[in-house]
Amino acid sequence: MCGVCGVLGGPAHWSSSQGRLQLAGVSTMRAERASNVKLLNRIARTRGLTVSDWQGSSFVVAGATGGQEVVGSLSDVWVAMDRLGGRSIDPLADEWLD
Amino acid sequence: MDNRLPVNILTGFLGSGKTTLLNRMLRNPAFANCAVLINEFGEVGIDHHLVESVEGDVVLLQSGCICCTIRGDLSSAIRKLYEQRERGTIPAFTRLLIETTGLADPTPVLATVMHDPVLQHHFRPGNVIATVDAVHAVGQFKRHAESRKQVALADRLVLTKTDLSTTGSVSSLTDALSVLNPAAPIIVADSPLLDADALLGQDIFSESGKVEEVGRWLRAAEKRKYFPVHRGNPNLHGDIQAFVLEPGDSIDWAVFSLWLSLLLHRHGDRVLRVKGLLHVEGAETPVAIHGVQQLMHPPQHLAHWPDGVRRSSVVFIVEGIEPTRVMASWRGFLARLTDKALAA
Repeated sequence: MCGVCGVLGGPAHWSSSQGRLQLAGVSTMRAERASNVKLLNRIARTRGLTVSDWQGSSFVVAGATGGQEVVGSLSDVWVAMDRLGGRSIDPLADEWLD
Repeated sequence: MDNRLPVNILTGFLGSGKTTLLNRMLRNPAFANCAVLINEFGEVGIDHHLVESVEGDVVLLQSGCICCTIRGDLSSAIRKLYEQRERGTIPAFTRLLIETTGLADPTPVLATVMHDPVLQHHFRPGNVIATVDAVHAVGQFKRHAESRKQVALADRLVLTKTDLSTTGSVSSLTDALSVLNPAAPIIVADSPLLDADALLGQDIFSESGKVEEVGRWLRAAEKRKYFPVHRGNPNLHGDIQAFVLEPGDSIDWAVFSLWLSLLLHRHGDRVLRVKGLLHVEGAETPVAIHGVQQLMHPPQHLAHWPDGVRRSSVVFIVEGIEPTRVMASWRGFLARLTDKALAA
């Protein structure tokens, strides 16, 4: 846990390549998170939400009405999006990204 | 190198021969230095060649293995065993074998090993072995969803009681098994091929065996690709079916892992297994992925492509999900989340 902000740390999400994969062009954890945030926002915007990185350790999911959730992992981002967006995102639904 | 102790799960429906297989394994010197966690000594009926009570309910077997019962919480039982190993009060076992009850879903056991905050540093999942009764499995598949799921989640299928069954019925059963789980080798219990290495030694985490293990998935998947999705008798499989997704070459890892993470978040209870090999953009060697339901293992590089063929291929075993929807979802995601699409 960070002694200053009280954010709980945890093991890296399975999807993180850091320390696991050698990928040319993905040099740092921050670069990977920036890329993930860009992709997450493409999904989040279908629900009127935004996602941003916070200190390289958490994600902030924000709704159109000002509601925000600070979450630790990618799995938690999906849960927060479902909650703040009002309905679950279903990747198997028709036109789910429109 | 991964120095954690492998944990193998022995599952299989009631009366499918788990006890017989376990007794046979424990007599084999190749299985020495195993610790075995079982539910009840009486129920399992392990051979009476227990020679020494070590501490509490732990007993030392003639083979050098240790054995004890799970009393209450699985996580506590494994921790206690590990503490005894570290204190030197029991032999330093090099593998843990957990036998589930006949009606159990093996997933919570895997979840305990992978996500318990203490255990995950000392143990890693190994192969899940499922026994399948050649005489009764077809009836069990029809009546009990648990029996289908045990097969779908397995890494090795051991066919028991083939001597009591006809050649024709064994053949139609293996056909059904290859639909439920095309990536798991089927080994006949009384075959000489049933050895320690076939069952336990070659898994996705072993340095020497992982390329061969992934090669096995892909060869099975290659066969599967040419089968119609609903091949066989749906009564035997319920809604479980396997299919192959070919996600393409030079995949952006961030895009693929994000899509799979979302799919598992929403439908993980019905995505029973994911196993595959990817050609990832920026990686010089192939990347293997695998998981059980929401429990994905971190990706890992293989030294080279199995059989020298460079092609991304992911085997899915799903329950109640139409494969074409998964394929369409990936294609749609890929089309909208490339750099070009995002810039538009």
